[in-house]
Amino acid sequence: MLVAVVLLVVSLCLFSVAMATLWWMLHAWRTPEVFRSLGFGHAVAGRAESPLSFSLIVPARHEEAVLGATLDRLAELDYSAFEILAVVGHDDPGTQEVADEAARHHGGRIRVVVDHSWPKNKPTALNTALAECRGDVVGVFDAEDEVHPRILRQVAGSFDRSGAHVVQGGVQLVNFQSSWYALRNCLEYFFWFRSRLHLHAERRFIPLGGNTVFVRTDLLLAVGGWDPQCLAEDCELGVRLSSLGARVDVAYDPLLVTREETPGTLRGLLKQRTRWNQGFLQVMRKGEWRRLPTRGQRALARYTLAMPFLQAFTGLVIPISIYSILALKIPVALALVSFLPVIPTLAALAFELVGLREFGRVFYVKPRAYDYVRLVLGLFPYQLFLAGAAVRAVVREMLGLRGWEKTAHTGAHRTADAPASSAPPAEPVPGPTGPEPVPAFTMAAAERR
Amino acid sequence: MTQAPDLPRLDPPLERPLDRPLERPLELPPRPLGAPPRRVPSVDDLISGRARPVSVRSPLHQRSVRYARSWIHRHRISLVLLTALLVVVGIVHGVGLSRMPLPVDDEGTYMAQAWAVQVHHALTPYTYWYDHPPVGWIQLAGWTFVTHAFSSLSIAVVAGRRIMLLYAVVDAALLYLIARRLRLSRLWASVGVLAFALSPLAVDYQRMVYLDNLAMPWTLAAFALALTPRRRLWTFGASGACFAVAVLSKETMLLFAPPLIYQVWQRAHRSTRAFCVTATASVFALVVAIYPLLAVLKGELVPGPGHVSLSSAIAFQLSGRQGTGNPFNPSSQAHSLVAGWLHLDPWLPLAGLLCLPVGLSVRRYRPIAVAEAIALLDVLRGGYLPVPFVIGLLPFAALLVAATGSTLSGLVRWESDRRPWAVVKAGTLLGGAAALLVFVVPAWAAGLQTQMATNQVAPTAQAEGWVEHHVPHSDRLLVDDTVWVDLVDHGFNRPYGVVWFYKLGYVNNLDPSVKRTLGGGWRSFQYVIETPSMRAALAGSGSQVLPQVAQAVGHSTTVASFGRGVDTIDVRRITVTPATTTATTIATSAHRPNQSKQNKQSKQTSQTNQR
Repeated sequence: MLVAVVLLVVSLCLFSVAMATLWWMLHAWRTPEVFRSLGFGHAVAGRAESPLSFSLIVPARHEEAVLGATLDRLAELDYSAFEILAVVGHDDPGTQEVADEAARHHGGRIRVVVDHSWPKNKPTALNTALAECRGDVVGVFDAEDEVHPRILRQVAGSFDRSGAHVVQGGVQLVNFQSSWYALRNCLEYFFWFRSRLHLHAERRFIPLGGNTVFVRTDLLLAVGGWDPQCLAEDCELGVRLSSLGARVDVAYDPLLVTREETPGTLRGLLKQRTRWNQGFLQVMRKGEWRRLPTRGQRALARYTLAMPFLQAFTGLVIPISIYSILALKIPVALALVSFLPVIPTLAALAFELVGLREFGRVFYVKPRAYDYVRLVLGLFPYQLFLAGAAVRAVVREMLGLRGWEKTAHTGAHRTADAPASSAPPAEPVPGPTGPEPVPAFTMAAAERR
Repeated sequence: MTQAPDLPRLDPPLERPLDRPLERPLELPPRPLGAPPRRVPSVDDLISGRARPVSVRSPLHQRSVRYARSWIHRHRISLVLLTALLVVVGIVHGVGLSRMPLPVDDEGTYMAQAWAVQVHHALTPYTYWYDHPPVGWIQLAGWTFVTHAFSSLSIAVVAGRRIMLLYAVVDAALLYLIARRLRLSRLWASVGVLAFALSPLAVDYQRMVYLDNLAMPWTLAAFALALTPRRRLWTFGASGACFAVAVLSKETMLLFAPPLIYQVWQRAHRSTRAFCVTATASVFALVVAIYPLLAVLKGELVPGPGHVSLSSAIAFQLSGRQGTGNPFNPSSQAHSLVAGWLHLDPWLPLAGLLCLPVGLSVRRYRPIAVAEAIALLDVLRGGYLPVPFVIGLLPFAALLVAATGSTLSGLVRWESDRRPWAVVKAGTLLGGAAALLVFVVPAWAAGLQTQMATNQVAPTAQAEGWVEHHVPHSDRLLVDDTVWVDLVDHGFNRPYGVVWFYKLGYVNNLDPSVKRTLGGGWRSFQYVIETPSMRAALAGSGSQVLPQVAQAVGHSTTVASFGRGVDTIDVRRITVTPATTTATTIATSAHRPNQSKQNKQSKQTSQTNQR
């Protein structure tokens, strides 16, 4: 009897969670009008130059392989009033050299800010640069980002049109054919930036992304910049600003998104996802979201931030649930009810298949039949993977392993061991790859949604 | 740190062509102007907390009341018109439903199954053998529970028909909604509703407790939702869900899946079409999948010794059943069935057929026309044609009639045509309509008159009354399903004290529980209640299909008789010599050990079936 009641409650909970997730995932496609209003229209050709000026912060750590190209590309942006602040650690001469070279090459466009703080992490680097910003708006890009030249026009247009305090641009992973999890990861980004983020902006509660995010400088200074303690400083900033009532505009255009790549290994992805989940838990514990004005917003905040918990819960419960259906002789009606969560899960899969087609259409790539097959086959392993990352995040948070210091130490240590005399690491693929020690905060924030 | 020069300015700003031309603008009405430019709080306001918004929305009930008021105001004409139409529909269907038509065994079967759901929380009184998906009579059980149908004085089938009245009214309302969403005028929408509701054929079949009637509103709702004017994604999903309920109520509705998907595809906007079609299709498929899942969980997906299975039931329905033949072959069952339909009313089916070309040629009406065409083709296919199949045809036929009328009357253009030409066209159309009415109105009036005045139910009620007072309640009766619930309600033992007659035949019956329990066949019974349905089943080659029933009738003498002619119901007492009697009383305790010994792991016995 107890088993039956527990099974019933758990099934209905899982069903509701899956339904809500599915519904929010499809936010952009609710009606053709919504789809149009969220899709295009931001990228207006030949928009008159806005009077807004930008300071773009590019934090880099041991990323000499990719930083140069990124800075070159940023310096060529189709906009007049902007500056670039490349932030490098004082213990990272290789990267600093690349940054200095770019600064020399591009005249006054690029300045190099050296971060002397310790321990090193991304929010601290950002805060260090914030003090030097002179533009009306601060933007953040990661060292490996591929940025569209017209992005600043689009963002300035968004600021003008909406009067928002914050503009979140789109980010998209594009290497969907590299591996089965890259495919799923790309689609996650696609649904998040194309659809779900707009819902958050509409409801005025938004966990911001880690890059292509633009905040008015005066506001950012007034709230004291990023939280250096948080593993998900971008999400934390978004929640803090939301709870103050700041207006956020999401400027998504498939043409102008910032392109990134998924981590090269599943292990890298696991670490990234763990950090992200753990960051969400930290934001949840910090409780800034409790100051959101309406009950609906608080509910959305609680749900969004508790997602790691829910995922961990799902991951643990599903096997138990299947076991109890098969092994315990429960009534047929109850067994049917306990299969309810499968409906939204499989419906989501169907929408992912359509989403992959749409993704291919929008980004001018043609998914092969193999990709669709891989998407279907990857459903269950990826759920397991997500659940694993969620459990890992919860455990780490409970044990007090607040992450990046330890890994950052390792990274710093290794670099210190290998003196500057050695050749710069030849790493063709941007972002964390392989067993190569990767600076923790890059992983934590580089590919955040 | 490098030096900080002034912010550079490029003059003139770079002008770079876009990488690709802008998307072709969507064919949508211009976006409504949004709210007036809102005041954006200053940073000071944000930091001090002054900007933190307070909820300005009024409470939910106020908003709903306001919305309901404006909705009623917007639709006031249609609401008045539709109310009037539904009153007419209600009267035509309601008056005389307890007298006409003759109760048939299917009605009794579904009422008995609803009774089993409501009273015993089982899917059927006997073993559920996946003959039809159970949602139809589960709905019915919900209504019988709400209306206390089984405790009322009338017989169960009539109580079920009262519920069917509700479904007929909902059908009519949904038909109006679909017509309006197909952009037909109120006039033509009303014509469609009346054509549907006043046809004697529709009235006759919609009064009866058929699964098709229980499924039809769900099918119509699926089409109405697929025609959503706002093209919301959830509406398309809801359409799929409704259609799933329809198919789980009566599996033949699956025929309308292609036109429904076509309707969704046509209605959805290009930009969200893939998602809308996916919403309908995936919700439909996943909800319908619950049915095979049920079979899996009961361990009855594939055939095995001693239990029924979904796959053998499907095989039976698709190919095991003897076909009813080609309707054009005068000696076939299908022919007599179709002739029976056309005898009640040839006009609506014929009009549906004649209106097909117009329906297929106008893009907007094409999905409806495809639905009608598929149903008609299935009638002509020559496989197994179920008796109530016509129920699915009629709403689409009525819609096509309305759509064709609207299209043809639209050909008369008083503004642009020359006056004489317009007069000629209008005259032709009016003449045609008048001629049609001259034929149709008297025929329908006569048909409806019959259906309101004749009483074909009385013999059943009288026979039940007689049996209740004159037959010992411990006797075993072989009955038509029609009277089963009433006799069980009156204290006869179920399920093996009163037994559906076709459970004794093993050709059309995949349920082994009766054979297992009543090994003596016809000799186990004391009485047989011979009804028109039973007589029809035994006619022709029926006595080979149901030899035990034929034997029971052959070895019995009439003790009471009710009604006249073909509608007669005979209560017959079976005469067996004592030596051959295997069981004269119902020994429920006697067959149980035998049963459990026979098949321990079987889930087929009536006891386990009551889960």
